[in-house]
Amino acid sequence: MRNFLKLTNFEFNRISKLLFSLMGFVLLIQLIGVFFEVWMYNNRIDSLMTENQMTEAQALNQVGELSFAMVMYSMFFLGPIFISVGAMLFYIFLIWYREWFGKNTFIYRLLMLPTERINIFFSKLVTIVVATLTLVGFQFLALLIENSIFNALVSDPFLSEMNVVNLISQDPLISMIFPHSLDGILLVYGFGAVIVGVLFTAILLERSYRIKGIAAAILYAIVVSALLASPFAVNELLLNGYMYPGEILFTFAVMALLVLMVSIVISRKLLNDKIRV
Amino acid sequence: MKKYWKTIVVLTVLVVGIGSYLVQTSLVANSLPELQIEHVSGDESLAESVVLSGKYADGKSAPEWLTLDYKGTEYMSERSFIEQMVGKRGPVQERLIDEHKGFMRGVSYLHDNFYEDDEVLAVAETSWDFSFQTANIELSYLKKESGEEVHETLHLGSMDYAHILEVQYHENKIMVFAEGYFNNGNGLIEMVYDLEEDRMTQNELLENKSQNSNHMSFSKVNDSVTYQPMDHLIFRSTEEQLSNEGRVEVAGTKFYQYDVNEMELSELELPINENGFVSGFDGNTVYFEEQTPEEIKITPFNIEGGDFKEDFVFEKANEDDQFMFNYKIKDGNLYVLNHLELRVIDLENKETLYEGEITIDNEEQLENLELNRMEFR
Repeated sequence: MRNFLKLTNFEFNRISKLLFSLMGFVLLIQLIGVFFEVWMYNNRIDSLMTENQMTEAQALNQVGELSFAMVMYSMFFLGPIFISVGAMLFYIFLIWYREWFGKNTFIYRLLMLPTERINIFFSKLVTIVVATLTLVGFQFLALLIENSIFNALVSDPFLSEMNVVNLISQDPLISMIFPHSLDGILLVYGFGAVIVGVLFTAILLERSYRIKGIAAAILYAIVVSALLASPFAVNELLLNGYMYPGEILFTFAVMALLVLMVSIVISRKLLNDKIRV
Repeated sequence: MKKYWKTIVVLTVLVVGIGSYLVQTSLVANSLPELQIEHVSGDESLAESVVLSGKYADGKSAPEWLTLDYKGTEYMSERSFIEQMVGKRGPVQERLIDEHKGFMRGVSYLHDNFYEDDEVLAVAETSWDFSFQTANIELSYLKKESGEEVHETLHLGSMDYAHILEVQYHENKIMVFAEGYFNNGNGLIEMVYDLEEDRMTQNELLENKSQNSNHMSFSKVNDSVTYQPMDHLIFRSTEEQLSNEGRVEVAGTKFYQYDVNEMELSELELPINENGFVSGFDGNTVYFEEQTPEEIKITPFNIEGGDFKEDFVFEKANEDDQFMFNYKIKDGNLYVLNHLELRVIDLENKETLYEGEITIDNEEQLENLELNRMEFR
């Protein structure tokens, strides 16, 4: 356990640069988005009042109130989120391949550590999941800050004040990132952890058998996809809708746990006996 | 400690961020008004099966869908993530799944396509046969006491598709009524499955007799409790035509009554123009509804005798809040939601059997509330 914690702390130290950079990037671009949307809105109101000789009330009537939704559904907000997701996906591969392709072949030292080799797998998995959840948590704190600044920038008659949580729930994409209850967070990010575990196994297959390993990794991904889709497919195609939705979800969760366990067993075997350095 | 500061910062951001999100989510849920049906007088058990549903919309966020029964309020957004993924079923479907879990497996929807009394439960669903590229009706039947089940596939024959309007059961016969679509038009179809003879007969009760290219549709006059046994059913044929301006206009409406015991269809004359619109039917009596700015009048009309009974008049609440009115007929009683008052009235003697009042914890939120649906569990 102690060795696992040390390894995990080591991985956190390595990912922290990326993580803090992403946090700064997200906050900066989204704040620019807040200022830009407010500036654009004020410009429209001003031009209506000066060029079209409208009163403030007429201009407001024509343009409508400004709400934080305008910021949240713009690319200034969603862009940094997509980039962060892309960065984390890239890091899932980097977290392993850097051990082979860095300045020194660091994998030698990792494999020689006086601990179970599967701890390397677990520490990397925990790092990815915790880093992702940290970015999600930070995004919410950033939203609160951005919303406060937005409310301070827009003067009262023009402001349509909306709760950030309500805005999150209205957008299907953002509400997938922020499930509205603890069970949702555990389910969505738990499933994410299973997928990361499968990708790690695929990477280790490649690192163990190289070209042949790529074929094995693709085959493994296909088998996993079929297993995860099986509760839905079997219910629709063979059982004619016999299972209730709750039962399908439960079977899916069992399948996902099974996939994670199989991934751990295969990865342990590969790390102990087959890995090439 | 210095070695761990980055890990500590990361974990702190995670806990504070996710924690404050969950706290904010629960604060938003708590800001929604809590409604109760308070008992004022009469037999409380009459209101136990009533489920009211609607929405709360304050204009600042998306409408919150809610249901209200004698136990209290339930908002859709308050349901857990797993409950939302599993999906919300109607109160009747939930009760039937509780009572007959095995039989209800595979039933994808319940609307007008099922029948229930003390002894039997029957469900009909339209299905698509991919191998033969035809539509069928899947009929399931349960004898409640013995638990005996029958599952049959009824082939639609020359029909391309059938939209089920009603299911009834009488003397070992299950009757399925549907609007059927053929290559060259549509019609009102009756399919009768004889449980003793294990045989299905199919009749075209009404066909599209429009002399020109006008569209004709067939529908059912809504019964308050769609699955209950009925002595009669009322169907409506509506002819629609395109006006010179390109608008769809109703060219004519005809009503037909179907006698479930005799299995006969005949044309029905309803005095529709002078009494408002047909808004309900309980198997023997049609209910006309007429609104003025001050009141709502419900006029019962007996189809067998062809005579009117005494009106039920409800005063509209003189407030700025959204006006809510809904009524249903069940077991010889009139269930009325009039603004914040829920009443159950005996249809025979007009005696009030139950009176309840909908209360809200924050009166100011009342203007954003709309309860527009009444169902029975």
